[in-house]
Amino acid sequence: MACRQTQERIAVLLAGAADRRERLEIESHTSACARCATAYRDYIATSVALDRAYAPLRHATVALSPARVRLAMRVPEPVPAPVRFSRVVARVNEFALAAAVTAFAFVGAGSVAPKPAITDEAVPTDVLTPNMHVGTMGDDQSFIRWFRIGRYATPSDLLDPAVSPRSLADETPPATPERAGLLR
Amino acid sequence: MTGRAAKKAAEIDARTDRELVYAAREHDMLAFDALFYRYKDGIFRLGLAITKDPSAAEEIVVDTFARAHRALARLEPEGSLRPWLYRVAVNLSYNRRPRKGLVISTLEDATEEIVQGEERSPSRLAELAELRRVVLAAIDTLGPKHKVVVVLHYLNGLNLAEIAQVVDCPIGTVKSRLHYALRRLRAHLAAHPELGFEPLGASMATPGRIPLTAVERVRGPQE
Repeated sequence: MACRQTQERIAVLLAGAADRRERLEIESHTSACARCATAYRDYIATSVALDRAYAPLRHATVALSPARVRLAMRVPEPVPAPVRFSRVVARVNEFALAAAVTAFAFVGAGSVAPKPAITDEAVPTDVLTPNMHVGTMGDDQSFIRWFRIGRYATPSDLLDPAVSPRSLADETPPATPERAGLLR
Repeated sequence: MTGRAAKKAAEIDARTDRELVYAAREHDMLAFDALFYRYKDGIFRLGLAITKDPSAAEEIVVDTFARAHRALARLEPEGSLRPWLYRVAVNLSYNRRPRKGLVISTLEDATEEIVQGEERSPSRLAELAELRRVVLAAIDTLGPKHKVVVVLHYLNGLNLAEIAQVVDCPIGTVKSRLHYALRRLRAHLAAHPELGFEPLGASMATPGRIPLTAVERVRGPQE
């Protein structure tokens, strides 16, 4: 066996991967070769030094939880069975409450809502429009103006259709200044 | 931990990797947690030995198991899970670039607290610390391929067949890399005779006898 081959096998022997035959071959070669015997000794020393250098690190531990992995993967935490059951019960309660409130709202609305009135086809549905004066914003301002200056206004002013409500002249007698003052 | 939880944990720990992988595939998160607790420390040590950064090593542990979780469906649980996990961890360790401005602590710093816990004389502790520093510095001079083989064998205790699975190469290549690494390390350590390493070729061994003086010096007195 050549020296290079022997030295490679020494490394294998130190790694614990050599069988008995290889070990005997190495020993027989190193007994005859001073160079390989030195290499054998040196490799043992190096191997032991490596073993010692890593010895403290072999006891190193890490305080990590599998939750870190789940957090990194966005995987939800496993929920214990009792907690899972209580969550299901809570969800069922929520649905039952929501259904009850909805049913109550529908039933209550149905009983309280007015019955639809019997309508005469001859009567126009819109009975307010013909009898209602639809004023503009200007009419309201005119009324306020009339209300505030009425005390000092002359009857002719009050009868002025520009400053009085449309039907005022028909329904009320002309107001004297004294009478207008009573309106305050 | 309650009695029921302890019983459950013990039951899970008794299962093999294969059983745990199959259970994890069925969304049994406790089985996945058992795999995590089984291998997290080994992967952490591997990441720490390569990156020398404890926080980076923690991230490597998390990333490795996150990948394992994603790959559960296509994992081959017939073989051992350990080489697969270590392969992922090695790739993550070497793909991780040091963060800008980060001062990475040395491996000795990371293990200093553990060393201090040992009961030894101060001189012996100092000698061991110096030996550790020199050896770890020598390991850093190795290339990634050779360093991985050394770390996996001497730190994580993997045999050559498992290392071959991790680095995805024939076992003969692993033997060759280990031999090369030992030879390189020996050359570096020969520069420190004060630690018991004699210069290369300084003393020729007598044929037929393996002198173990250097080994005894490195080992120290029998413990």
